Amino acid sequence: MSQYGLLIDYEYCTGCHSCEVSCKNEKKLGRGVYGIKLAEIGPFEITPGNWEWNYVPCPTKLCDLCADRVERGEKPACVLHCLGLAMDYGPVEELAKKMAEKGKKVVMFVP
Amino acid sequence: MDKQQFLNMEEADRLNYLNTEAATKDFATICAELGMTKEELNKLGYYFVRNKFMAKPMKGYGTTIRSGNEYKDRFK
Amino acid sequence: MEKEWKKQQSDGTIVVRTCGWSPPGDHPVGCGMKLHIKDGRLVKVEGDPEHPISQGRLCVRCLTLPEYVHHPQRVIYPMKRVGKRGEDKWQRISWDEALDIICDKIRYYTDNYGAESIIVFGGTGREACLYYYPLAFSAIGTPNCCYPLSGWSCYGPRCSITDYILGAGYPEIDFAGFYPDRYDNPNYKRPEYLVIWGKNPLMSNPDGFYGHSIIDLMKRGTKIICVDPRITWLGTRAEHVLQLRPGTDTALALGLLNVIINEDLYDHDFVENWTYGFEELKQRVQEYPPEKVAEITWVPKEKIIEVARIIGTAKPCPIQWGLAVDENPNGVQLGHAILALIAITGNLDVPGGITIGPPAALMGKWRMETRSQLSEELWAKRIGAEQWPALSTAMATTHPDETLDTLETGKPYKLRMGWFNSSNFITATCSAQPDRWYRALQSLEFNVVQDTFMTPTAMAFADIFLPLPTFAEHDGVVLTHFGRNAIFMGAINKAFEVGECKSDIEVCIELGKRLHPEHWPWNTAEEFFNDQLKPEFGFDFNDLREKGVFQPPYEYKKYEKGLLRFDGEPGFNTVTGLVELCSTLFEAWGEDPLPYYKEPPYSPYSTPELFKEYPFILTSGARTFTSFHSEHRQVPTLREITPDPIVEIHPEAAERLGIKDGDWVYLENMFGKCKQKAKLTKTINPKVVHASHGWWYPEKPAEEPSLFGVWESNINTLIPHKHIGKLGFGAPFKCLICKVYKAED
Ligand code: SF4
Ligand code: SF4
Ligand code: SF4
Repeated sequence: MSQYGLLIDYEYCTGCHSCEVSCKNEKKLGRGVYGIKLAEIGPFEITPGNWEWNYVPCPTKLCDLCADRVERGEKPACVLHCLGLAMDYGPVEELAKKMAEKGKKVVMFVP
Repeated sequence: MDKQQFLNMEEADRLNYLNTEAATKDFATICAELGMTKEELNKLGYYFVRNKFMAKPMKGYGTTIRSGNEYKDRFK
Repeated sequence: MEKEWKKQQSDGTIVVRTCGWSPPGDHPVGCGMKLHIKDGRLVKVEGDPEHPISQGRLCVRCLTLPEYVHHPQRVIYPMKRVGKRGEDKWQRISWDEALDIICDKIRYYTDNYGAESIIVFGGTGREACLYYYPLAFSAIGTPNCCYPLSGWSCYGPRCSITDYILGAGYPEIDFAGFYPDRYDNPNYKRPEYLVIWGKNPLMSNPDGFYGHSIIDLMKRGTKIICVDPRITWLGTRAEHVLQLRPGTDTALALGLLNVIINEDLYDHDFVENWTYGFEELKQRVQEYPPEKVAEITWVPKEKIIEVARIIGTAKPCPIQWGLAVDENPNGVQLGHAILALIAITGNLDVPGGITIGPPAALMGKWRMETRSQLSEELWAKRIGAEQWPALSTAMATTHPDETLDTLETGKPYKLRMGWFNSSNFITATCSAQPDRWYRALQSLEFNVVQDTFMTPTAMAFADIFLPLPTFAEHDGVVLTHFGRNAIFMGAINKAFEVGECKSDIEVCIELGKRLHPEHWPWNTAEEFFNDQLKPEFGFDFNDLREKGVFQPPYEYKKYEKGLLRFDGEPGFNTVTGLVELCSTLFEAWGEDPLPYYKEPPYSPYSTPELFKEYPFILTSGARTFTSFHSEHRQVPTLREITPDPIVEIHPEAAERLGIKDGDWVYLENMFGKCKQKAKLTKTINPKVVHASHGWWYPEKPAEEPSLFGVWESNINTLIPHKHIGKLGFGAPFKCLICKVYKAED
């Protein structure tokens, strides 16, 4: 059986926190506890006018890749609600292929 | 024609009337004959542009006349 | 979408499909979602993948809806004040009692002082925006309906400018919202470039535009140009950012026009056939060569030229204008110049360009007609109508600044009763000098407030509090752009009930039935919506529920087809029948018919002496994901993400002032002061600071003088009254000056 993972396209992750909050809802997590937590890198200026500013949500060990939802044939809560449509769920081989196609600013988590 | 007679006219006729007048008279004369100011005419939706009267048919909430081009008429 | 909109699951949970619109949330964005109800409680909100626009996506405001809906502080029964104003003493009453008290008061003031002594205040963006006009005109019978923001500085100016210059509904970028198959529709063309001007749609979803459509477009290859005094996250993904000095936008627009016209990059065919006053505009823009514009705006000359060339040659290249157009005394000219840019580059009403709504609003006929239920004599008493013909021609409201004057002076007559419909405007939202409004509003003898929570405004003024349901608790219709260029129309479905709340339209119907039954034949919201929908679309409310959303087809190039004018002739619904690059209406109202730049009333150049004392340019109002203006401050999950009001300041400037990241600082100027938390960032110019709006602290004491800490971080106290443009529009909310110092308390 193949491993599953979460792919994050951080070129288009807008930092909206929907993954974080929808995961908390799904997993019924209290304040200060996260199944996935947004990190912010930047903003800083590399050369004039050339900025780096990324948001990347990082799943924690509370993430079970939404096993129940997936079983029901639904997308993981974070993937469904992601405003940037910047998340994907699937077998790691498939996601790796998608990463190669995208070619930049993309990361995969196997929580 | 005086102001009251002008106001009694149908909307469409008013514009025709103004433009017939404008063919021979200047704006100030037309206003004087009607006993109306530029502002009053504007308020009714009539504007004097490059020697011709024109109308701005919609005045926000000032009218409920529809263009006839709304959704239901266009896409049956 | 699936026909069934309400389902019961095996465990008894009821799942109701609906579309969102504040309260709470935001503008009429109408995202699709499924509400899970168990034992009378909202337990879960889940995005609806079938919705053609949101496609399952939901922002944190809807994801936390259960926290809002079942919040212990929510007011869910009608309340009568039993203490003094400003005391937190209330008694629960029945709707009948509340309406009896209200109707008695309305009759009393109408009989003794005339209906004009009653005024209805409306807020920004909520569903109430469709109903507070009819509430005033048709249910109460007063001509005075007021949006209190100085210079009407939100959406109204853009709609009015569009009416004057294009004679059309609201111009919005074409994001393929009209097509069920969206971006893949063969009639659609993806914009090559998209200019986003004074706006951050990712967070604000302005007027119902689905903000993250911009991300959809970027993934498909659209390049972005941002015009913004800050580098936003979107700015870091943009090909160009024109980081201008706040308030100088009009100079920039004229500079862009200068390059496009002088380098002959405009659409000759469109200009010759469909515009009026091109020669005059051409002459005018000669006064704005890029060198001079660079000096005014702080945007390098080369950048101006480069971007102008892109706008002139990229096809299509729509420009999305934002609130920066409204919140500027020079904003009418900015709007005019931006529309001119769009028009002469051939981007008007073409696929992938700027779509424009027909002159009559979708589902708007009833709203407009309610106004004719007032006599001309009464209508003429509308506050400020005489003094501000431009504003009062396009808008059905009072003039906001004039209204404050009337409250303060009792001239031309005294206002006696207030009705605050979804408006919390002593918080830093839709008023300038909210402290002055607060004092002036004390003169009202009797007030009704409709809201979901006890807000500072309600605590200060309500004599009767009427609880509003959230969108999850009532039936309604959401339509983007308030119907002025609706991409779609969606059903809002009542999923359950909390307490005894009544929606805006339900209150209108009940009040109307008591006071003016001849205008209010409907018994329920559903009956009302059937009557609005059936004649215009041929289907009723239940059909809309089953459809989920309805996307009206769109016609491009309406001006060629006679679809914009009342007489069915080709052209635009303007005085000249053309896009008025030179405006006949502005001239008639005593304004310059051509766009021009005017320096902000307070700036390093217009008030250099004052600027020595107040050495920062102050801009404000950027949105966050976690709140809609003053909403959501009491929602724990959202407050955890955004706990404090943030002022952004450049690290160099902060260092000079001994301010560290996270320090509380005071912002102060000639008009007021407030306290916010400093965030150091290089994304802002060292001479500029950006402050947050909409802050109050639901956790702080409710009673006077605290009023939930409403004065502590209130940025609008720094904005002056009546510093507006010649036509009555636009106040300097985004271009003031201030000083910043560390708060020692
Ligand atoms: S996959 Fe499920 S559990 Fe994992 S982060 Fe996303 S929402 Fe949370
Ligand atoms: S939901 Fe998507 S866009 Fe929003 S923060 Fe998470 S990954 Fe980023
Ligand atoms: S934009 Fe956010 S608040 Fe508005 S309807 Fe969509 S999810 Fe809800």
